[in-house]
Amino acid sequence: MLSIFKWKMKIFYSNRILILILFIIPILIFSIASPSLKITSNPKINVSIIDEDKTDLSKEYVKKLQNDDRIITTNLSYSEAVKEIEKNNISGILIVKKGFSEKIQEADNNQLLELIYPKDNYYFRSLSDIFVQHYFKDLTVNRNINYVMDNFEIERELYEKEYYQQYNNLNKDLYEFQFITREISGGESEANLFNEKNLLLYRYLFGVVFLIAYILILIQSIETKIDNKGIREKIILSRVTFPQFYLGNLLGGVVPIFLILVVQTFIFSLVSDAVFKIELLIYILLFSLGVGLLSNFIVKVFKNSRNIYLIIPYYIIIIWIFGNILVNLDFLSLVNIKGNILPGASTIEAITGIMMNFNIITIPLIVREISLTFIMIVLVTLMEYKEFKNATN
Amino acid sequence: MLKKLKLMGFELKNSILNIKILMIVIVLPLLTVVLFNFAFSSLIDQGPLFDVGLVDKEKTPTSTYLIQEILKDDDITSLINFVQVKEEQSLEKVQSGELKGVFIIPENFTDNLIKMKNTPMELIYKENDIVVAYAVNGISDSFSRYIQEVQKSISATYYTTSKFENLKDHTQKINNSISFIMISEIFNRKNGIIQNQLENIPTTTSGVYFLVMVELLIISFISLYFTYNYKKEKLLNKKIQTVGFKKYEIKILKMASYLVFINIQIVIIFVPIFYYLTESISLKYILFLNLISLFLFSLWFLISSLIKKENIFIAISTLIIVTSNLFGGTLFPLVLMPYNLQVVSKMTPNYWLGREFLYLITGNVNIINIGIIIFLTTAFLYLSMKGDGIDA
Repeated sequence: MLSIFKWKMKIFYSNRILILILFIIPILIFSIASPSLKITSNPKINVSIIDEDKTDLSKEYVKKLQNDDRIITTNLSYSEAVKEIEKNNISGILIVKKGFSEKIQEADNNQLLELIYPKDNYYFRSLSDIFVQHYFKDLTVNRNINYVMDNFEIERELYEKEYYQQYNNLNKDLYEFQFITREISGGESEANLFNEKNLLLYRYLFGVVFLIAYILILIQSIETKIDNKGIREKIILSRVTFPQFYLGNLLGGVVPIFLILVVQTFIFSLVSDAVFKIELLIYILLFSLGVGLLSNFIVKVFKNSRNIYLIIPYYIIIIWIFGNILVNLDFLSLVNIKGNILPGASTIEAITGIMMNFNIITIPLIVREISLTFIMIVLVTLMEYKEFKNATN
Repeated sequence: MLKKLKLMGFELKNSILNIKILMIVIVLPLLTVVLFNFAFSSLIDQGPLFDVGLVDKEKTPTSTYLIQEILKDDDITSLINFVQVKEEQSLEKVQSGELKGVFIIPENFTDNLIKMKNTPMELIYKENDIVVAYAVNGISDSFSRYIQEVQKSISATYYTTSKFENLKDHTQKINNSISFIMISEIFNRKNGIIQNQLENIPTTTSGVYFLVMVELLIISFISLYFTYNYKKEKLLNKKIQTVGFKKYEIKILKMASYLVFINIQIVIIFVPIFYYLTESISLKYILFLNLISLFLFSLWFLISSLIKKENIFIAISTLIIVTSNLFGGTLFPLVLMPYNLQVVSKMTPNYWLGREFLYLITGNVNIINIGIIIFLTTAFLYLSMKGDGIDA
């Protein structure tokens, strides 16, 4: 068993350039993305602003937009801005309409701004609230003042002076409005370290790590196929039994991936707010085992190892979709399947949950993963036994 | 000339009769597009992505009004569709996945708002469901700002009116009325914006862009497959040389026949979906995809001439494709990437090729970019011929 294990490890590490690239890519990406992970990094929208009103209030409004770190502003003419939208260099145009300031003072919330953007840009449309936030205060204040002016006889100047004084004297902290979030999985958890807006980015980076692990272990399985690199001869000469060959072959693929993943996730925890816990070692081992078996299974199904290389892109797509990396596959519930159906995917869920400090119940995930692993063990054993017999005969 | 056509015909016939090639060129790309559509259609859809429940624990006329306003407001977010649910069903519906989250309006919520007290609103969702987390947190963040502004303005009115002799007696009445008006103001806040949507300008968040990027992924692998086949047929190519063909002629003729196959795939899969999405199709799009294919062929030929071992060649090329797709906008939307990662994405060919395709659609072709692609294609092909020479 040890000799097979050693051969596999040796073959695995013999392709140093590939291993190095696959090992370094995720670490490089973490390092590049880490500044964005530690702060509230909203993706920015790029807008060209045209001020048709040109009053003090509209200028002040434009200044507020320019100071908003969610927005990148430019000053282009209408036709230039449309050209830039067509080139995807900016997301849209914001026109501060003539009469903006007058209408704000009258608390008339009608035709204050015009937003021009491509119909296809759903992202920009969902962010249009940003532009309201910067004039909403003036609008509400004037609505309050005007209500009193319209219904009671009082000198405007005097009332306004008192109103602004009262407004400025308010203890603003008292008005912090909170949403309480409750997790449906139950149980107590530590405070979540993550800003919700960064979650997508974290999931994406975890996706990169695990996707590369899937590919790496598949390449390892292809390269150490029984008919490659004299393995058949080595089996015959060393007279290993099937269980010894089976375990050695499996562990030879699983152990290096396990080690690489441990190092990568640990480094990820150092450069981000993700946490590395000792229990992760078990989950990473389980992931490596599931994915190792899956790779062995694929290698057995496709007899020609060069063909397997060519299915890698489709393998990537399947992992990206069925591995539950960015999206939950609701469409599978149509056939009464809920959750992950790819070996390794459930443990990815558990590992990311633990590293991101989610209050996640891992037992159902682990049960599903172990069930899938068991199925893979049965399938791979049957196929490998046949292959082993053929090789030794 | 006839001899050359014969060689192309031979190559085509061999490919058409090869089930494996048909699988790789037609069946697998079709499956890819179907799978992508299933998995990512919700992310590029114009309609709401999911349902979120609203529970009214207050049950007063004001809270009923508040719920009605939320339900009829299409503009709160393009991602969420609100539905009213009973409290006892809410948790179960989130657990079963029927609802992606629930907002609970607590008892005395609006009453406390009027009294300038803050009762936090409860929000339940599966926290590891990132798209939901992203959307509901966006809403809660936005609403928190509006509620705070409204409360501050109402409070200032309350304190101001109580300072004036002739308003003192009306303070409570003014407070109640203005509070009600201001709650409506939150929901009507976007009345001041005229939304002018430009037609036929696809962006990097659009379905068309997504289709183009998936097509790029598919072409990358089909071209890699054919290049790999070419490399494998080294002996056959040498035999063809003996009947009077030059090495570069064989390469170019074979590449032309591979291109025919890629065009079959483009016409069968890409064109119908593109037409479905945009209701238009133009020859220039197909020509540009051909240019992209040629560029990719030249890149793979160059790599294959530098790397002798087939497995290393495939592994390195696969790595290039994976990296380009992970960071170039295919598997993760560019707009959601932070600035640093967007810089990385600009280093991938997919980013530039996808962008150039968008320019083509809007009629803003960047001649310099096209020139660079043609130059690189020619240079890579030339260098690959040199590499072949070294190899021989």
